[in-house]
Amino acid sequence: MITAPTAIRLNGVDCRTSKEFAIRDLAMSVPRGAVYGFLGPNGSGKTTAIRLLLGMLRADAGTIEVLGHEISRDAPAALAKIGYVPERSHLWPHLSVEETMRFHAAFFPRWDAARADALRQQFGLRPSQLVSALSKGENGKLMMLLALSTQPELLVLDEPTDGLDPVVRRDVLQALVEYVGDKQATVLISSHLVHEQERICDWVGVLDQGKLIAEVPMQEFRSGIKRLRVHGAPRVHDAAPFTVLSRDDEFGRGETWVVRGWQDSHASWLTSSGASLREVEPLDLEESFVELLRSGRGGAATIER
Amino acid sequence: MNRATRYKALLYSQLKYQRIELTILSIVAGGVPALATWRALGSTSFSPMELLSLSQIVGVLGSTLAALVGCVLALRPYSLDALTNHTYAMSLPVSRTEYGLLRVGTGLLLLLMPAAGFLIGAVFASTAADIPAMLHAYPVGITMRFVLAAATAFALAFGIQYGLGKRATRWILFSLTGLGAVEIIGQLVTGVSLTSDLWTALGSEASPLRVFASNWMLFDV
Repeated sequence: MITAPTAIRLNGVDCRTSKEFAIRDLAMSVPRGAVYGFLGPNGSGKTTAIRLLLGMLRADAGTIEVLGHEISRDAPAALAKIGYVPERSHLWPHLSVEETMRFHAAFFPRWDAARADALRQQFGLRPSQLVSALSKGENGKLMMLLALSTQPELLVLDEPTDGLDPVVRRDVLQALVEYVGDKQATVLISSHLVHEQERICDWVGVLDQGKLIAEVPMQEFRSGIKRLRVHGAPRVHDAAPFTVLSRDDEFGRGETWVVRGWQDSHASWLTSSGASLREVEPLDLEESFVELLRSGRGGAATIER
Repeated sequence: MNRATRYKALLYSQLKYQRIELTILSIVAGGVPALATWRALGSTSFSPMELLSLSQIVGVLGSTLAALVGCVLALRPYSLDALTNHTYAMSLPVSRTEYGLLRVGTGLLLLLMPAAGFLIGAVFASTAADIPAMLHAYPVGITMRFVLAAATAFALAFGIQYGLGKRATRWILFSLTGLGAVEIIGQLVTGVSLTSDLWTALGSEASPLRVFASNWMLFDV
């Protein structure tokens, strides 16, 4: 539960984009100043959710508030304070790097020309180079340059490093981290690259099939999901003080449980249920993410006996 | 950041995007009135009827070109926006209405480039031709008509494209197929045209499309 001031708040948002896919009852809160990792497998609805919160798509139901602005009524005021890097290049191919920067500057009231020029040199972008002639990495750098030079209070980055080589990825992330450190901006960064999120995010939201299935501080997410090896496990775990995400039989040698919200004191519940706890093993973020998705898809906590 | 700055930025972008087609259209527009004089240049035995018939060709070509100019200026920028699924346009901090109005403004201003070409050609034709005493040249009048016709085509194409978006082509084909079907059924069943009233209305004095059909004479009495 987030009680701090929020940069983004979605409540009960529904949006059907096709016969096959819909965002359903989406609720999420991004605290101001947070670096919020928006995790989810491909096709989970991350880009749709981002387009909704930027006012590019209209929600069928629910409310979306970004930086204090109700998006359905006042999207331009919010967009003036947002730096956006989309999944695929959105820049016009006929303009050069310099012309693109000038065009962007004309629309964003807080454009920082000095920062833009410094970033252009740092990224090694030639002013006269046409956008259509830029490589994928250069395009990614230019989009990040544009987003950071508007001095945004909120950065919305949709798979910003997807498909970039490690050197470009490092440059882009370094520029991002420097800006956030300097301006205390909020960042929403969507990705399916779990390890990248682990390094830079302090909050994480997991989206799957159009629903947010977890929203917790990264530390809690990382430390709260454990793998337990249990002998003599009870058939029913409804009363457990933690959430059982999955149970797997180990061919008569006990069971492996993946649980969320685990604390050492919870071992006594297992003992009182007649089970013995043999091992508690931490999961890395990627394993935690996969287990969470499994449980969200209804495969959790079931066991064949 | 004021609206004029945004307008200039969008105007520059569109001018760069459409500079080749605008240059070609402007040159062609200048060449159309010259058609009226290409046979007459240097001729001393030039009859008024010949000049009037050549002037009619200018009218047909001029109105067609004006329609083309309007459509090109309305539809090509939309194709640029659609190239990125409108993501860039929609991520700019302006309302959709303001963005649409900026696009209308840039389109209407750029339309003056082919119009200027047409005016230059018309003035050249008027001065070069040996006009019989009973006829007069109307280069400014016909250019005004060109501007009006191009603006009308622009407004129609812009309204349909930006109003219907991706569905525009589908709806236009659907409407034309529907009209064709009504006409064919009418002819087969009743032996009369059921769409003739529509065409009459579209060509009537009250219709904005009238500008394409009315008097497009560079030389007239």
